[in-house]
Amino acid sequence: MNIGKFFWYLQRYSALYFLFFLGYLEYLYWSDQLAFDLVTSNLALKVSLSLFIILACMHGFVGLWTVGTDYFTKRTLGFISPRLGSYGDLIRKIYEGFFVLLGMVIVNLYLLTIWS
Amino acid sequence: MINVNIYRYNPETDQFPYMQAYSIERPKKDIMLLELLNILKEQDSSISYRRSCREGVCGSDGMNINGKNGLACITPISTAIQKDKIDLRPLPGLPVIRDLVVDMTEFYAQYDKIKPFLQNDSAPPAIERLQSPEDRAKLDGLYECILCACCSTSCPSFWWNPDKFVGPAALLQAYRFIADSRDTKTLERLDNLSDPFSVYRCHGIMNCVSACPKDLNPNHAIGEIKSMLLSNKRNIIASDGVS
Repeated sequence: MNIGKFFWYLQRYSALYFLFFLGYLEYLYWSDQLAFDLVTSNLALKVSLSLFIILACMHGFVGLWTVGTDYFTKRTLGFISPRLGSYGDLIRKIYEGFFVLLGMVIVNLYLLTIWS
Repeated sequence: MINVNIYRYNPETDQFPYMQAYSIERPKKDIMLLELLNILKEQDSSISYRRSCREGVCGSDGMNINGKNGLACITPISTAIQKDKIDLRPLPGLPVIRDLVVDMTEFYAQYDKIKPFLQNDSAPPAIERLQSPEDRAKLDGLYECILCACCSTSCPSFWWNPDKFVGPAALLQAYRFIADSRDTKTLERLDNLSDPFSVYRCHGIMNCVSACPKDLNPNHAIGEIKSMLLSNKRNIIASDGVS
């Protein structure tokens, strides 16, 4: 599967997953079952929450990558200043790298909290 | 009186572009905007714009009219005018050569990328490649595009990535050949569009549909291409009998 198709499916299927997962959380909330103990003891919730965190980070990254490749380019930044535009690719790589690291930190923190 | 504000920029003499105001007596007849520009050009011969057929066929006089792209030759001043004022700017997103004339190199490069010609490896028949009326009907709403660039230059995705996103005009033409029963390069055409930018940068905001002066629907064509890319292409093509 090429990357364009992968991103397209990732955004759509992850969004559907978020919808169902939030519905599940709402069910737990309204049936007075939602508590921190449940997050660490219920295997179904642990797995679904872990998947939610991973997919949310991937979904967010694809969105941010799209924004970055629109606005942090030689062309687009060059509208502000040609000098700034010459650093467009570097600025975008730093921007993408920052969110990759941030996503990895978030995923690790949540997985440690859920599974430890 | 009508106040016409025209974007002026001559890179040889102007450091920055500016809007120049012209006042003109409102014509008794509801003339087209291009005719109004011709009258203004008699007053100020330095105003630059492209025009050719003056009947919406050549696509030369695409421009931004009061914030919306359109063809000056088929836009009556009665529909263009807002509070006795008309603002004319060049098509957005493309480099300005002078006044309302833009450099369309990037637009044509994308058109070139989709290989806008019939490709068929089989031996040519004695007279012509025949097509059923049903197959021919699939091309309606696709072949009429005049490449005026009103759609592509109204698309933010094309503004930001004119070198990577093919744009609605070229994608409409890409689908015109993908849908053509006589073309046998459907798989290659789809593979050529499968990267994350060429088609997938369309987010379906439909500015292209709103801007098209020929009332075409590039968004529908893009949707069809996406469906084919996301489905099992070989199955689709086999069931359509395309190749």
